[in-house]
Amino acid sequence: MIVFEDVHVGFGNLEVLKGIDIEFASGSKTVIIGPSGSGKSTLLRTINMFERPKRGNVFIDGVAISSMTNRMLCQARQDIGMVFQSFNLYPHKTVLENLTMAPIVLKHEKKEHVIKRAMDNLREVNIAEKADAYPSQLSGGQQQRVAIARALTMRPKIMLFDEPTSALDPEMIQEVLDIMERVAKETQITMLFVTHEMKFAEHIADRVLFLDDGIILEDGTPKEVFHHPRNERTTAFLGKILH
Amino acid sequence: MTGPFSLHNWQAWFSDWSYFAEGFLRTVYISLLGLFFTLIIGLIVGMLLCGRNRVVISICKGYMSFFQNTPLVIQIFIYYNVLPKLGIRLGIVVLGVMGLALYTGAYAADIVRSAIRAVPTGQMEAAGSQGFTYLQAMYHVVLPQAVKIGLPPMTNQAVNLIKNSSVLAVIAGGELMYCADSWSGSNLIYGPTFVMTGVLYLCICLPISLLARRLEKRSTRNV
Repeated sequence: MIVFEDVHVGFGNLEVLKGIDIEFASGSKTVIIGPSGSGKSTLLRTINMFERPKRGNVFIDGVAISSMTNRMLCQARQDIGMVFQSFNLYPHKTVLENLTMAPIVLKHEKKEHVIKRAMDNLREVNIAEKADAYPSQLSGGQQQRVAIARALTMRPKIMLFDEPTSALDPEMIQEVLDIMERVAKETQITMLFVTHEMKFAEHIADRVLFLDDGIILEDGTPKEVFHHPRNERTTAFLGKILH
Repeated sequence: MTGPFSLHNWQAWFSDWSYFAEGFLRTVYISLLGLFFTLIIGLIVGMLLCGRNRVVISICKGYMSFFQNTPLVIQIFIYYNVLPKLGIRLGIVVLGVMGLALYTGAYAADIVRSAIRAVPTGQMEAAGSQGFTYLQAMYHVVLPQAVKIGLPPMTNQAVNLIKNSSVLAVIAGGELMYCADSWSGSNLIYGPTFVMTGVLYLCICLPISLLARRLEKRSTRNV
């Protein structure tokens, strides 16, 4: 379980998150929506402490991750996968090496076990045939599928998806959404998505948050938020992105 | 044929070729050691420059400014003449290697810094998100990519270091340039001496330059 307790995050004088209090149950699938600059990505990045709160605490399974030392944080991050907008695959490593490096180096797992798991994950995201290719030889959609497989190979308890389809060409978006949907439905990993793909959100999310100006304005099921929003800002935002 | 390039002068030079071969090998030896320590200095200072400690960064910048903006020959003179007065007595080779490494290291640090900065920040973030520490991320993710970017300019610095090793002639370094200078002075044969000395430097530097050009071409291709 992830718990935010009065979390304030800012850059200089700019306050991006203004006192977030929220809980995410283990295994839950949450989609975070909101206008640009509303703090969606910052909220996600506060979970793995890429952004440290100025005030308040973030707890994961009862442990205050926001009070951890750097060394403890690195250990904790092994259980928190992240998928980035720009994929961020390691260009000097093959697809398979991208998946196997961290478990071998950080968790000291046996190479053959990791390779087997990595290949299973590559098959899961339909890209096993590219195991020996380099990221530069793949399309954007393929790279993002590898990035998802890379995060899965660490066997995380939590997965964060920071606008995973925003940098993709339109025809590649669906292939990544399909994979994310399958992974979300098949695993018990706690997942948080920052995305504007409403159909995807309706299919997989058990909860949708609408964030605006660093505050959670809407928190409910996809049906509640998309079809019966309580806040005017939500209605206006949904009106813009749905039409 | 008479004049500086007379047959007699060439014969005299070739009859003493072993003296130059010794100087040549000494140049290679000093250059290799100098290059080794240059890479160590460049890597450490370059990485420190990419850190967040302002005091450390200021010290590194001070080192680079001093060594990049004063002639190598003055630095060598200082080591040769001032250090013994401070009770520090170093052999000529140690002194030469130190001088070359400190001087070229200042440029190498700049290359390492630029190469690290050229690696997209997302790479460090991706490594961090998997649980790599700063040093682990540097070693496994950032530096392998930075090496590819920094190798061509670093190879050029290696060529500069070899050529700059000729400065050691002013403190009787015993390397190729010193051999040329002392031999030509004693025999009053300058033409063949300096032409052949140039050719010997070319023999070391040209292959490295060609390698640099090849690496440069390769680094512009996709990874």
